[in-house]
Amino acid sequence: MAAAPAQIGFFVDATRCINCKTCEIACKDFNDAPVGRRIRKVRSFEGGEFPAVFAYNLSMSCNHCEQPACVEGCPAGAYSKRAADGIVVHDPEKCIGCRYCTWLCPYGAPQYDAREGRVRKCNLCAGEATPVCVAACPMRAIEVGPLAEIAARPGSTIALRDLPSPQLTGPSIRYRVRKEARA
Amino acid sequence: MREWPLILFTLATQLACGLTLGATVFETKARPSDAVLMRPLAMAIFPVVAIGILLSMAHLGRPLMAWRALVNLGQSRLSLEVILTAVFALLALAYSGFWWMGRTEGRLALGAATGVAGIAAVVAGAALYTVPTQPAWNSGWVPASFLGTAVLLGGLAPAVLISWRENTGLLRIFLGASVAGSLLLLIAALWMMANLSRRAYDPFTAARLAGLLQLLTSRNSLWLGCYVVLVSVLPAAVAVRLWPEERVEITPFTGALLAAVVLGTAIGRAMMYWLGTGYEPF
Repeated sequence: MAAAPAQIGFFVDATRCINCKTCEIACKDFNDAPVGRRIRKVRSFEGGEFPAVFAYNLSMSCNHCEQPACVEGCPAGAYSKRAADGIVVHDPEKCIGCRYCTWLCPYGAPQYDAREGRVRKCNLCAGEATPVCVAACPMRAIEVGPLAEIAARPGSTIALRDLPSPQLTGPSIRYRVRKEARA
Repeated sequence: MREWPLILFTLATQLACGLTLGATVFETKARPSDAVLMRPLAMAIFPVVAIGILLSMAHLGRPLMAWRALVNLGQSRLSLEVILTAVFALLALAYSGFWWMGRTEGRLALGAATGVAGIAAVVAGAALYTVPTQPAWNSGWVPASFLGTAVLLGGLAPAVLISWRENTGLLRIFLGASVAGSLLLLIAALWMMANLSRRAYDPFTAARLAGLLQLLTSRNSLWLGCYVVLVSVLPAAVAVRLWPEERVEITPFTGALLAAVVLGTAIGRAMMYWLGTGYEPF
C-alpha cells in the first residue's frame, strides 16, 4: 500500500502526559462507546532497576498506519485508507463483527462492541476540525498534523521498548519520551 | 472462552477433511462389497462441515451480514478461507450424497477433488493465524496442528467406528494415519514451545512470548499435559492395541476413545486461541 502524500499522524508528548485520561473520556463521549470499550487508551509503563527507575504515560488510539493490517485483512471491506491524508477509516455499517481486525492490529486499536455486534475505532473524528482528544488534553500532550512535519521535530521517535516494532505496520505516530523508554 | 464457535468450526472442518481423505483411501483399497462399512462415515462428511459453518456464524457480531465476508476476496485471508470452505462444503454435499445413494460411478474422482478442497480450506484457515502481528501464532506450528488434526481424526474415526471384517490391511492404514497425525500434533506442540522460546525482533514481543511460555509451563501445564496425552499417547496406545486384530467390533469403549481424542484436540485448540487473543500493548 503506497504511503499517502500528506499522511496525517499523531504526536504524543509522553513527557507532558500525566495520565489524567481526559482524552480517553472525551473520545468515549464523542463515540458513545460502552463501558470497557476504549477507542483511546492511556497507559503507564515502568522500567529500569533501582535506583535508575523511570515511568511514563502513553495515550494511543488508531495509529492510521502506512501499511494497515486491518485494511488488508478485513473480509467485509469495512476499512479503507484515504488517499489524500492517509486516515484509516472504519465504516461500522459494513462491519460484520468477525473481530479479525482485533487480531491483526498490533496496537489493539479496533474495539469490539458486543452491544452493537461490530467493531469501532478512531476515525480521527472525521468531520471535526480538531480531534476531541487533542482539544480535551489539558497538558497539550497530543497533537495531530502532517506526519512529515511531526517526524522532523527534535526528540521525535517512533520505536519504544514497550510497544510492538513499528516495522510491522508503519504507525503514523511519533512520541517524545525520555531516552530510557526508547527501543 | 468466547472463541468456542471457532474452536468447533476449525475442528469440524478438519474432521470432515480427514474423513474425506479416509473415505477416498478406503475406496481405492477396499473390496466393493465392503463399501457398506464406510458408508455411515462418508455420509457424515457434509453434515459435519455444514454444522461447523453454522457454528462459525455464532462468532460473528452480525451473522445476517455474513455474506459480506466475501467482499474483500482479493486481499483478505479470511475471505479466501470463507470461499474455500464453501467450495469444500458444496463438494462434500455431492460426495456424501453419492455415498447415500450408493452411486459408485465417478465417486473416487469426486472424493479426491473434495479431499483437495478440504486440504485447501484447512490450510487457508491456518493462514489466518500466521500473521506477523500475532507472534505466538506466526509460525509453522499452526498449519502443522491443523493438518495433524485432520489426519489424526480422519484415521482414527474409521479405525474405531467401523466393525472391520478381516480387512486387516485397511485397518492398519487407518491406524497408521492416526499415529502419523498424532506425531504431527506432537511436533506442532514442540514447535509451539520453540516459537515461544525464540529470540524476538523487538523487546515488546520478546516480553510477550516469554510471559506466555511461562504461563503455559506453569499455570496451564496441566492442560498442556492433557493435550499431549489425549492426542499423542492415546492414539498410539489404540494403534498398538488394535494392530494385531483381525476383527474389530464397535463398543462403547472404542467410541469413548474417539471422544477422548476429540476432547484433546479441543483442548489444544482452546490453548491456541488463548495464546493469541489478548495480544495488545494497551
